[in-house]
Amino acid sequence: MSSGQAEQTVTVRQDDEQHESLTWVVACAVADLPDGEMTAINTEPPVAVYNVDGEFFSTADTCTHMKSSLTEGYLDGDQVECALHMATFCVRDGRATALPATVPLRTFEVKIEDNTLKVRLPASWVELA
Amino acid sequence: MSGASVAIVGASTAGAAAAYALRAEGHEGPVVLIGAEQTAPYERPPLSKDVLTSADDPQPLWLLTPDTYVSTNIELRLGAAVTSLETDGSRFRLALADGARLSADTVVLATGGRARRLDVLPADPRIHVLRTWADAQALRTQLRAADRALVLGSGLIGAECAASASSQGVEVEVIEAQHVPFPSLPSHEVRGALLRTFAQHGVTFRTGVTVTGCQAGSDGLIVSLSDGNVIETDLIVIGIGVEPMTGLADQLGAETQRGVLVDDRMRTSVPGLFAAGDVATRRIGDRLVRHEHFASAQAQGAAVARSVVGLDPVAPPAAWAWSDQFTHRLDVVGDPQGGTERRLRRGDDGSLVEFSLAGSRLVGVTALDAHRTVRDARRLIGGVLRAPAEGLEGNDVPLKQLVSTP
Repeated sequence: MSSGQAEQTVTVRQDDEQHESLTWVVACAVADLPDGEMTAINTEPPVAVYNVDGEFFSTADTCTHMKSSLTEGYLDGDQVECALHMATFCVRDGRATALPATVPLRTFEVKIEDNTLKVRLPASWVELA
Repeated sequence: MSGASVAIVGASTAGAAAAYALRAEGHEGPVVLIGAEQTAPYERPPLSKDVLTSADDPQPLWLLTPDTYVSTNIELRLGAAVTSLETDGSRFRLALADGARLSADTVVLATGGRARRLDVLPADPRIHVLRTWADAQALRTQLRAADRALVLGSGLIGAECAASASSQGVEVEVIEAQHVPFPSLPSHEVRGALLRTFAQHGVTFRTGVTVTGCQAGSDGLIVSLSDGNVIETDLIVIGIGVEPMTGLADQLGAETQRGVLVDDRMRTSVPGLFAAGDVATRRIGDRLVRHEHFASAQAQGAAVARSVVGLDPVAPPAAWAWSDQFTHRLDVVGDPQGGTERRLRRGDDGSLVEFSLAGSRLVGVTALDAHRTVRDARRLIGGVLRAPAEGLEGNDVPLKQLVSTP
């Protein structure tokens, strides 16, 4: 994933009052992410995209418990389970739904354009990749 | 009940999970979490792994983020063991080692266990146990300067310490009193595969021997063994299990059975007194079960919170312990010892899964490097085979197709 795929850059105000520049990037072709599947985008840090019964969601790929890749785990409905210690998160809102995780995942806006799934990520995550 | 005050004794895995779950279940009364250690509740599993091996100064992995205590109004009292616990039948009175006195309507004992030591060993800073953050820091510091280490016991803690020390370039020898290495692992094949890996890393084992004495010299420890051998080493790690800390339950006369006895609602025999985690012996059906593992402690913390707020218990998840040793991931699910028949699945990738069956029921799994099967097994323990048991030996069939959901 290169920053050359960025389409537009906007600045939003985050909860922590830091200004962060977000940018839309291509995650994958819609056809490459069937129902019940998830995949990671090679940003830094990596980002996960999910297909839950035809609805698409995106969260950080890194478990907030011990920094394992969630897409190495299991997607069950709208719950993603970390393979390492079975923490679960709701991919719709990033909420931690089972211990040992208590910290939510960051979530990202998604859209579909031209049969392509796009996610809106911090520009710095894309530039570093 | 929602306005009642709850004192959780033990800022442990179970204790922190109980505090967190109490708030998640809507408990509104005061919650105080009391810990003997100075450190806020942290995860113990990394102590025998990353904390010993990381190049950078390790930091505790917090069970709850620091702002959780503020945002959910959980009072944290650290560095103060509870020294006495009394009740007048309706309210508990607690005395803390720092002189403070508290009272509470409900008390949850999550005091865990104390690492066992050996009477034949002297008190010496080079002789370690590993239970607390402070223990791990002390061991880490010495391992970095050590050439040789002797590990007593090859349970999960001993084996993980041996692997961590070895991966730091320390020459490691393991003394196991029983006649097989890794005696807590209920699979001959898994033990064998692990032992090969340890041997490849140069870790040596002596089984069926015990330590009979130790002389502490200025340039090392000289350890005598029951078979007459003498070993010189720079440091010793004792990994021979824990003693549940039942002292406060004893003060109240609560029933104990190698731990504080609790029912399916985590209640002790004393009204208002609950227990969870390593210290709790649960009566499950006609069996008495005490677990000393992270996932179980967390599940019990959540279970005790449900009970305190008056919710019905949910079935406890299948028991699950994991361990990381060198590059191996080891998982034990359910109760493999409870089976009468075993079936082994060897993966093309070197993974091993031993299924334990009681009749046609899957009761346990012991697995090496087999994530997906372990994940399925955690949901299928207690389920009944749909097909002949030989099917379990086939590599490519998902477990879900072979075992019904319990």
